[in-house]
Amino acid sequence: MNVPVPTLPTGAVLSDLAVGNTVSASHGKTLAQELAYLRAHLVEPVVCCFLKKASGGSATAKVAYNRTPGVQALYIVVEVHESVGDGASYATVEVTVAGSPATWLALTPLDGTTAALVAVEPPAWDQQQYVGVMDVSGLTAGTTTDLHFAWSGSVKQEGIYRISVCEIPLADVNPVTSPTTEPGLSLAWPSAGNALVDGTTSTSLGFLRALDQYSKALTQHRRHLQWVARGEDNSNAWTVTSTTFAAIVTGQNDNPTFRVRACALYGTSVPDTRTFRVRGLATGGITLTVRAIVTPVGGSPTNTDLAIAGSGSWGASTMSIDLPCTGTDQEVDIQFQAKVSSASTARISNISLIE
Amino acid sequence: MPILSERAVTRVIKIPPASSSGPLADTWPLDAGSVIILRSNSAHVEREAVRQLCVSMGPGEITGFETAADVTADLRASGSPSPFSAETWQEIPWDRRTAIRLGPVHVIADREMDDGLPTLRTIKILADFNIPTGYSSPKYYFAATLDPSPFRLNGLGSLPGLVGSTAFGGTGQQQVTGTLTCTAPIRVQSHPDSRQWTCRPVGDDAALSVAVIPLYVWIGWRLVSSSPPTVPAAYLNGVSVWETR
Repeated sequence: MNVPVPTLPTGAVLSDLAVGNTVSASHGKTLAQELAYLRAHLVEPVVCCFLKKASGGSATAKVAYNRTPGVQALYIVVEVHESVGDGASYATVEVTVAGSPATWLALTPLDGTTAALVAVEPPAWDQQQYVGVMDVSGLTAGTTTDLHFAWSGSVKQEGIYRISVCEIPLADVNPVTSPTTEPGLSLAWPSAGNALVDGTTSTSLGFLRALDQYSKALTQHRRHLQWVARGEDNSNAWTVTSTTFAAIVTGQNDNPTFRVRACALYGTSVPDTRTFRVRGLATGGITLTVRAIVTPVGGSPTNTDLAIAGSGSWGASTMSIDLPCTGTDQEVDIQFQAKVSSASTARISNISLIE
Repeated sequence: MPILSERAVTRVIKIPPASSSGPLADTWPLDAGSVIILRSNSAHVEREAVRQLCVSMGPGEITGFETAADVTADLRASGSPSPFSAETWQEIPWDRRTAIRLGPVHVIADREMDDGLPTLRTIKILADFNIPTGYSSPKYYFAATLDPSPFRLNGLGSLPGLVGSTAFGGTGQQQVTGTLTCTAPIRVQSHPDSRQWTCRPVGDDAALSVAVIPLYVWIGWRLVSSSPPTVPAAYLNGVSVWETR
């Protein structure tokens, strides 16, 4: 029996759980509904980013993705820049999983086979969109993977304008048939007549299953914050040349401030801890250091420095970073700076903070 | 009945990991206190599960205009909805010269209005502009729609509370902020903007599609030169959009 995923919380009150009152089957069903809502409806956007006009006729942007367990598909929208000059042009977009072909479930497969005409300037609101639903059921939950957004176009086209990726919620979950891959708790188990057993975490019923699913709702909900360069190559990645901390050369005309809301699961005194990840390139012997300046709104800044040892190849480095929950409305301002250890040019294609 | 579940405290209460030898083992009675803790934890997570809808470097240089008439001069050519009127949504054409569109993400309508009905969570926006001197009364716009078309920003199609603007006179780098608070009830299953999105591959013995309402957020600007024909370069360098309670 599948568990329908509610689109609203249960709205359960605590007063009906007073000590001494009868425990009824409805309490167990409320647990199952809450877990389905927490684990299959409250899913997250992965990225929404704007890319500057690319150089060179093709580029591949990298988007970091860590699948929330239970999520099976991503809704992906790509828009391209308008053409320059007179006459129509075309562009193709191919999205792959770390370079391997993706499986597409619906709408337009973003596999590079569909060349869409691109509108010319002035840019109307109804630009060509490439929209696809990607199957991510095979991605290992808890592991960050790079989704590759490769674009190529005719001479008048200048690359991807915007990428939007979000996880798609589920209509129902099926922990009875697939207890290890489907989130939630059997809705039938709490019914009167069934044994109130502890069960196991890997079966669909029992108190241990409920407890384990609550724990996973806390620890496996992947919130993504990420900043994406228009490509991972020398022409399109962001650059760092300063030997002291300075704004990353992103093509913007100053170093912007970003604001996010930290998640205060354990009260506002416990920070929202995430994985600070940077994809970068530095030559051998050079260290690229990326600094995240985190300031709770109304508070004082804290610097977190992530060092990437140069190898001459693109790669990702990670470390832990805390977003304090002590700011006004739990809001946090974030800025980035970077430096290289000695005169050189290092490059960055993606910065992410993933819970 | 409230929309969000009730919590006992404003944080998650830590509990032992699931274990067959722990307090939830077969032979132990399930006490009301344990269930209260589980439910309270769940209710707290519901409240904290607000989302970052966008955090991005901006599109960069944005378009300014010599005259106010130029802002709307290409509207009909570009197919945009503005008919040259004074309503907030009609002051700019909402094309790429005057706005950016974010989304879609699926709506989570779990904010309780005064009358107890559910609606969208409050949306907050911070846009990091760099506006040089030389513009007369810059104005910025914020909006949300349940459809990708800006036609839905008109008086008939828009939802109350989801179109706003601010006149911000600063120059240089500046963070312009806005808040959108919907005042119309939203029910995902029965809303006319509800869509079916494929949500899983065939073979899982579960529903292959799910009803969602797509949400789009818009950030606009209206920059008219104070000394035409000079139109100085202006920039939108960073964008942050998030949900809050």
